[in-house]
Amino acid sequence: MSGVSKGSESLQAAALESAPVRGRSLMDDARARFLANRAASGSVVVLVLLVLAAVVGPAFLPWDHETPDWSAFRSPPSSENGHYFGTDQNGRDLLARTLHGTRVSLAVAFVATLVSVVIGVLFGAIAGYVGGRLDGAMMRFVDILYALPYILFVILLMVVFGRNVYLLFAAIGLLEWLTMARIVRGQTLSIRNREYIEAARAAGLGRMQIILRHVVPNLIGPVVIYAALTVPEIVATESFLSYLGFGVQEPLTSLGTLIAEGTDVIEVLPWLLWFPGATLVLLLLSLLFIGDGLRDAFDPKEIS
Amino acid sequence: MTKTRTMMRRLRLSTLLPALLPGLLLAALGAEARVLNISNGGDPTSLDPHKLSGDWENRIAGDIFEGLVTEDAGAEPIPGQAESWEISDDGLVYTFTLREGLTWSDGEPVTSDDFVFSLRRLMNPETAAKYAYLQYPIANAEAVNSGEMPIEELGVRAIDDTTLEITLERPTPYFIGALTHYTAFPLPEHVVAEHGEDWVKIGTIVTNGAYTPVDWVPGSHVTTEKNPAFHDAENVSIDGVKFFTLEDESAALKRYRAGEFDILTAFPTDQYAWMQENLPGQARAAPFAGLYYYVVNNQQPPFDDARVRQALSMAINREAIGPQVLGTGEIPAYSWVPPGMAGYGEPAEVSWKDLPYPEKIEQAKDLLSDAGYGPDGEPLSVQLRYNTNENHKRVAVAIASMWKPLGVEVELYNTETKVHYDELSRGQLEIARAGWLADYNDPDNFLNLLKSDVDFNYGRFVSEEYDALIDEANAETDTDARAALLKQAEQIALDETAAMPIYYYLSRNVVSPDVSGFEDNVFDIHRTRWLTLAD
Amino acid sequence: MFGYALRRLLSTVPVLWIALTACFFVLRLAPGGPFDGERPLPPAVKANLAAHYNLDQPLVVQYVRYIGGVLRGDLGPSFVNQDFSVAEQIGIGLPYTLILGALAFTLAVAVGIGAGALGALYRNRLGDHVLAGVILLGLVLPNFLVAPILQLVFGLQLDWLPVGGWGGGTITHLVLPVTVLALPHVARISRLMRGAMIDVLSSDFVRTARAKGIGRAAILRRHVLKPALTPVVSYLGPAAGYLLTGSLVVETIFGLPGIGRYFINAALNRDYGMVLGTVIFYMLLIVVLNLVVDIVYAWLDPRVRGR
Repeated sequence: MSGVSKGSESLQAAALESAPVRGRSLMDDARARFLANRAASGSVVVLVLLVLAAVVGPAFLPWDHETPDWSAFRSPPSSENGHYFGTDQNGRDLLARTLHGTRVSLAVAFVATLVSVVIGVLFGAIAGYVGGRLDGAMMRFVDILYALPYILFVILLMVVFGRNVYLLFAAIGLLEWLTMARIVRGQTLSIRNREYIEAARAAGLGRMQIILRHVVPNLIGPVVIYAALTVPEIVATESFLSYLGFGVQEPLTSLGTLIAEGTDVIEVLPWLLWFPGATLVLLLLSLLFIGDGLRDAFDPKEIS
Repeated sequence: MTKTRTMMRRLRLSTLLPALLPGLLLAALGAEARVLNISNGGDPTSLDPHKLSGDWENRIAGDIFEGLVTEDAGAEPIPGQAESWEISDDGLVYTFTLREGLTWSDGEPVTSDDFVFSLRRLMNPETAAKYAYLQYPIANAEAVNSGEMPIEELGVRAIDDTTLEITLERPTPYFIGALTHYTAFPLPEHVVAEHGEDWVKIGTIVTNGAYTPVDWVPGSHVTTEKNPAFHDAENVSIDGVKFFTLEDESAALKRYRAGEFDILTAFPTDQYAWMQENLPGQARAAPFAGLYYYVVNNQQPPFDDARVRQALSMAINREAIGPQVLGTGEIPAYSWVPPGMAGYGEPAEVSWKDLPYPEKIEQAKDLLSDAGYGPDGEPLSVQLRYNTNENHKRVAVAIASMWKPLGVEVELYNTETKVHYDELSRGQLEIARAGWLADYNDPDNFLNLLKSDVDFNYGRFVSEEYDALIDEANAETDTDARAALLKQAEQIALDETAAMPIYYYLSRNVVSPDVSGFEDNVFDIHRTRWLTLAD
Repeated sequence: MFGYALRRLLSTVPVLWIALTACFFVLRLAPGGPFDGERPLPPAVKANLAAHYNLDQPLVVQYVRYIGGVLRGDLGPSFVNQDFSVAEQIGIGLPYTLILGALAFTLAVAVGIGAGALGALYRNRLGDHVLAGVILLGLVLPNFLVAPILQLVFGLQLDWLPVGGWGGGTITHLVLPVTVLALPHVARISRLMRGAMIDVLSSDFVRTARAKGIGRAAILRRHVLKPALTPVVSYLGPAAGYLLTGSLVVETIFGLPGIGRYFINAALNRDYGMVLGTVIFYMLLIVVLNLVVDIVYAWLDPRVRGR
């Protein structure tokens, strides 16, 4: 005699027919949240457009960023003479210069972030994983460096080693790795006792191997978020240094340099300030939204 | 002063408060005596005239001190502390008679001993005065300054309290003019002897000029007040001057427009057209005895080839630089000596000056291909150096673009001023920007720059003929004959393209309509005693 | 607490010393010496200058003399302003920087915390969105962009405020520089405050308190403010550092005679003594400020004290 009622039979049938259940991973959740954040997803579009314009744009322009147009010195923006953003005091096309400057600023940001990520991740992962005295010493070192007025040292480095743009990248990157190291160390501490690490240890892998093959790949999440949050800071720092005269030098130009040149003539040649200024603000805003969006996506408690 | 006697300055709490008090007091008092507010650019290095070398420092020094000879409103030499002088027939001995009753601001009399003391201190190698060489015309000065002779051997002698005798190495027509320079100012021997290096501190310092300094906040301002002990005090109209330290020219212009400054000593060239429209008559760009030029390394290939040098020089469209690139209309320079130097007449010129520009380009290309460079020969690359400054950058960018059609690749390389000149004086350059402002009213000021044994000859141009002509001219007492010899030398330098003159400087000032007596002159010297301020 | 403070202070001494030494030697590597200028000096004079300032002695000897001087409070002579020693100049310039920094800090904290709290309490209303917009601008606009715009608008076009200079410290002269300096920090602090308060307001113990019927004001005072302030306070330490670097630009643009301007000038002019002197002071300031912040943090969150 079956104890199953008629209703439960149809329920069973229905359950068997419907689609298989798919689990939702952390990444899926995060992605969904990120896309729902309109500011963040919109900013991705803006950023991609900006990067494309900066990288590819100059190829489509009739002017390059350094050749003067002797017939159009200090020209306001005009479509007649083909200078859509106007020209500067040397007759150079501002649109071309703005794109070129964006390229340089982005390059600095990219390299500097890379430097800070590489150093910070290695440093923090090693300190967190090895622990003990080494960890104590390394974190002490970080504490010490935290206390120093870094900008002053960066300026001194620029002064001493001349206007080498690669050094600028590295110097700015060196500014940012400290916090990255701290965050990574924290994450590593929580990772190191997980089962897969124990398994790797049991399998006889050396410490560095474990760190590089198992710890680091699991740090990607927080690292990406933090990196995204610091890129605007790096761009701002580079602009700041260029404004003071310690950053990018002629014939290269960056958004900071362009703004510095523009602030001097804000009344007579205002376009020299507004276009690069707006570009910088747009760049920083979109980076900010993206960084925030990433952080909110992975850590919903922060959402308002 | 020897190094062992430098006083140690400790950080005292007492130095913190006085910084704030004058400001607070002034604010509390509200209305104050009408002071002339001048934006002066940099901070002076010191109030001690022997430590100076910049024109912004000259503005202050020349107001608070006065030499034997001083400048009138048009910067012409007139009697200063000396009421008259006599020159011996051979032109070697100058005898000065000081005015009656001259005193320092503390009441002590100014005597010829003060001048002897001051000139000896200037030449004393221990003082390490940067500008001591300006007074090298004085007998034995160079030897004393290099430590080869004791300071007592300097050709300066006090005959009595009011008579001073100066002996020269050789007849020097511009010597009277050179005495207006701050290196020739007297120092109060009694104060320096008592206080050592601290004699210049506010409160201790004592001066003999139309004004005395009463306040100095580094990075902010220097304030002076009228000196009642000055011999011409009754004709000095302005009560005091505040020299503001402000390098940012646009910020200074903004504050001028807000009424905070009466005189600006520089303005951003981009604003010139705007100022002529909105502040008519206030912005002044006037001829200035100075040369802006590019040094070429004569010893380094390919620039050791005169054809290459000439080609590059010809390709520069000088007429476009002043009006278009800079916006203030600087005059193109085709000579080495700026116009207006005393007793010189018209300077020598390059042979190609009047060719139309396209013609110059063609000839330049021909020259380069003759030398083996250009589209058919080797590519030519140039490193162009300049010191960090908006104007230098603009000129460099413009000139780099003028060289491009010749097939020349230009690398722009800028450094701070100190680094720039350090590397120049070590010969580390291919082509570099430099400038020279006249120290005194004589062409050899500029011609010396190309003598082979002179440090300032950064490009290491060497021509025995040139050196010989200059030496011959120095020994010549007849003005016209001397001028002719100098001109011959100038022509050689220009024909060889020893360096590339680009334009003659313009002095840039902005003067409020409330100020009268400010006369534009080629030395850009405007002593406050000749100015008046409307209320 | 006192022991904690003392230990922290002492632990910074070796740091300062190492940083100072590094700076000293690095600076000497820089091209260009302090006596190069538009007119090169005759070699005899250059030699005299070098002797006068002991620059002709071996680097190590110079270093030892310098450290000895520092310990006695003598920071050496300045090459650029020769009538003032480095210590004297810092003494003159420090008050300006401190006043500027203190006012900006106070403004940033007061306005930031207030705005953040209001934003949290009235969130998602119109005011909050407006505030969020303003905050974003404050975060993103660099101070060297904001300053000249404000100078133009308030100084020249409206003629309400002076364009620059210290002016004896009158309020009108301070408004613009302090605002420009404080702006990014107002933005950051209010963001942190708002986020932290929202966190706390939705937490369990607040809900419990509300359920118990405790009044809003009391809840805010007793349960919300302290924990909400924690992230803000931990930001204040680095904020002090940022304020100091921000003052470099603000002092330059507004022509204020603080040590930030001295540093830039000294770096450009190779005034070794001045550079080292300002670096020492900046480090000292940051250390002291961080210490103060740590103490406040420990008071706010007793769990920290156990460390």
